[in-house]
Amino acid sequence: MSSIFSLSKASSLTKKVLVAGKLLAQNNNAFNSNIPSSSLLALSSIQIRTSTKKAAGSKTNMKDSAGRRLGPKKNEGILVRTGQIIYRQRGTKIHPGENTGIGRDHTIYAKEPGYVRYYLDPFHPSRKFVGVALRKDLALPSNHWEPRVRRFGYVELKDSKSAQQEEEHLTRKDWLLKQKVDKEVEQRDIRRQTKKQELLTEFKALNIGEFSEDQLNIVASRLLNVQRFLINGFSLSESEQNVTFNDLYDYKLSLKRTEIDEAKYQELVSQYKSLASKTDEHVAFNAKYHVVKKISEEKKKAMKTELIGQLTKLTEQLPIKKDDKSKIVELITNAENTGVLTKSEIVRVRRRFLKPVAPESVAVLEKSAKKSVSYKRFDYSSNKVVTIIRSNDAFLSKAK
Amino acid sequence: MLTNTIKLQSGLGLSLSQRIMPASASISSMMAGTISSQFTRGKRTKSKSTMSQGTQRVVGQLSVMSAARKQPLRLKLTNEDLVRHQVVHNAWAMLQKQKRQVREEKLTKQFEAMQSAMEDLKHGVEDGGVLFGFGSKFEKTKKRVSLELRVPTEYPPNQVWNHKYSKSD
Amino acid sequence: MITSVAKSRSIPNVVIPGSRAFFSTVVGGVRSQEASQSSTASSTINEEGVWSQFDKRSESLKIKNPILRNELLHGIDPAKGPLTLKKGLSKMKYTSPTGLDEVFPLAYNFLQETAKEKYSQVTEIESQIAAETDEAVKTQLLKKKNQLIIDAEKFNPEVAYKAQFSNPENLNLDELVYQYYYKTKNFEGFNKMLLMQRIEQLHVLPDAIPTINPSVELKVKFINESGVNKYITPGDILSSRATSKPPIFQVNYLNIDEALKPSDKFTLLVVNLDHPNTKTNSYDITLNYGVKDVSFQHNNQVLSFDELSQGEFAEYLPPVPEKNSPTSRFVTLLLKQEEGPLATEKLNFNRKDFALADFLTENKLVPVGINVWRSKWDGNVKNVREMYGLPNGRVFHRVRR
Repeated sequence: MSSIFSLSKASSLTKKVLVAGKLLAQNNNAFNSNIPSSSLLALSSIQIRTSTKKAAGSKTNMKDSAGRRLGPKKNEGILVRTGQIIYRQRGTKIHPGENTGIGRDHTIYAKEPGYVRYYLDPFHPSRKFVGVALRKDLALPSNHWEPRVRRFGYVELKDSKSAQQEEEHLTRKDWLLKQKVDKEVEQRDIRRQTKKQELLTEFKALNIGEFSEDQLNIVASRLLNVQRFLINGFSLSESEQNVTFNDLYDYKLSLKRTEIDEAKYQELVSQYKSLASKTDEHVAFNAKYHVVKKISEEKKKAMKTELIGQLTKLTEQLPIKKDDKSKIVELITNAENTGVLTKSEIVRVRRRFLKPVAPESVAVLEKSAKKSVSYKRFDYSSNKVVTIIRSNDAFLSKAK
Repeated sequence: MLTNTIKLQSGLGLSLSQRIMPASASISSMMAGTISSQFTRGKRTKSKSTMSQGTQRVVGQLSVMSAARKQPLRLKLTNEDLVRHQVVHNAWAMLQKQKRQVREEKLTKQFEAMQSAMEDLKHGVEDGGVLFGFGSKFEKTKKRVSLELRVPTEYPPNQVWNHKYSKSD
Repeated sequence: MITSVAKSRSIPNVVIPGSRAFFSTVVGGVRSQEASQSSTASSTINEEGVWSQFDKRSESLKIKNPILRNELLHGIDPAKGPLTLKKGLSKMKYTSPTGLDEVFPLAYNFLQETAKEKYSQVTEIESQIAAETDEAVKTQLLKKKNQLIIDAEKFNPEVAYKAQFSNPENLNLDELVYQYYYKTKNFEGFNKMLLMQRIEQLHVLPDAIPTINPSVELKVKFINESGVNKYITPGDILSSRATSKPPIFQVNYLNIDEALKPSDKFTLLVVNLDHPNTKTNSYDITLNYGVKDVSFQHNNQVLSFDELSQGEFAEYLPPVPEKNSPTSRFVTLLLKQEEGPLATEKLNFNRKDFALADFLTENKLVPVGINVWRSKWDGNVKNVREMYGLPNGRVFHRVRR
């Protein structure tokens, strides 16, 4: 076949040469009459020897694959099931529209059962789309501003046994996690119980009044919840409000479940409210979230100023003596336990009055002695590293 | 023959400015002990740049450094100073805005005055639009300024102004 | 040049010696000899100006910490170092940019003078508003006045500092200038973008409402025994335990052009967009919570459950998704009531198949704020159903067909 092809090619070449020769002859006839006609004749009948040997290109050039059967597999308005192929293509001649997906080789398939629609989308003016309309009467593209038409597609399990089985079913991952979670919840509940007992004893120690066993139980759980909100960063009043809301809401729900009647509900609510107001009036939490007696804001302020005064007096004489140090620590711990100082205030007071190393205005030695510590530091005024020798008094941990 | 001049630092700390000869010549001069630089085969004696060696070294070092390290140090401001800087920036911007507004207002006023004057000439003076014609006449020859007009210079051309200039020249 | 500008424009007549040199030194960061010499002449801020008067202006426009305020207005003391740097070494190493301390008073005084003029314009407009009877003109004037108040304060360094570096929850958003900063920086700069992305991607638009441009920031927080103290991020998937009790809402009204009126009432709706309907093999919208005639006067205001319970027309129903049904979207909508308070008896709705679009058009409600969270079935749904006395949920086959 290839030889025929090359032959035909060769003959067409001869033809072309002949035609060119004729044209040239015409031209010469018209403008150049002094050339003898014999030479023209000779030109028109030049023999050309075409190649009879194959030059190249037979190894791969004559192959052709079978057609890939591309194009639409489902036409406009055809009913398709989920997963059916709608369009096969190279590249995206057509883009997947509503309820359709696109495969690795750009094959478009249906994601929902419905009717095939080929359409244009004004949001993408240069593209053609194919989509699946869920109902026969729906046109695509659907209205941009209206709720989407969606198919639920799940079947309800009517059989109670299989339904229960399905509901209790957990994935392996969830099942493994559940074992851990259950164990931790158990431990957490134990922790909460002990915490509740602690809070209750602390509350009882405040001697606010006489409470029945039921009331004490309510108070203890309330204190536990308030403590949790406090730890999560709510203020005391916010925490109390939140706990009240939660507990009253629980009463409301039990009324809704008709476990209690209206009268009982009102009684419970009023009892809870009075109990809450009574405890809130007297109870506060210190920085370590232990129950303490509530101190009014003015009194707290006065106590703070008094404390600061005492501490400044104790730290006037530097370096601090051992006795003074224990006094300072005691004062701060006392303020911490009584709830006079907040957590951040305690940190600040400790930093201010319990400096681990006294300033270099005191307890600096010329020469190293037996009970002295020397260290090197950079001196910014002279831009040099200097060695400083301090007596042991300069260090709070070594105070005498 | 090479004609590049470079500076060589001699061992004695003297800087010599000398014409570099081809290899053979420099060898002979070395033998004579005038230059104390050692010959190495294949070393480029021809320097393309006119930069000094020191500058060239700096340029070379800079070229291999990443661009990020060549950035000028960023000003690190505290929050207070950042706000203070913003105040200065805003004040400057506002001052410029006010100046711009004044200028624009002035130009608008000028334009409006000109326009009203032309309106007066057109309709107020009943001369058949003669004065308006004068006022709004466009010159046909746009030869107000010579194309050869140049910045004053210490060495002006011999013929300063070509009075017979025409476009076809 | 500057003085002539001042005269012709009747702007504050401030003489700024060598100001051009000052500014260029600051902008270019190069200290010129001329600038540093002339700077010694005038370098104090005017502390009797409008920005130092707090008889008419709110105290929230002032920085309370005296050291910080001093640093901001008079520059950082090189001996002590800046207050905002904590480490001693950093304090010692820090130096203010060259020329800033010299040029700052000029800039401050200049801006303060323009602020003074803005305030005088405000008083002028106030008298105009008092005399005006036409409502349309009045609102226009009010809009202008609000803008002037913002312009007068937005370059005040104390205000700018607070707006940029303090906790946005502590900003006094009733001050227009803080509202402006919060709106541009916090809301439109981040929160709104996040919200819009989430509601677009979760197809809340157009499944709930066609579109929205929120002018009110609506934040949702669930209060329950867990004690978690966090406003939800739009689109969060929450456990059924977390959502078992009604949330509290925080609203920030950020429409500067149209001030909040005391008579303005809002409706709050929580709807589930994905309640399965097996009959139609599609989804219904259910109403989980509905409150009408909500009003708030201040920004950063928390609408607690107790406050909301007065206008409650649909009690809170917690999300109780059914097993194997897809994740449900719970949308909270804050709607402005165009025609004042709503009459309860006129409200016509079906909670189980809630026609949201019709409800909005019937009652003339315009969406102004939105938020969304998601819920899916978990092990605790059963307990929540028991809590509310709800019947057992349906169970669907695991495979969608």
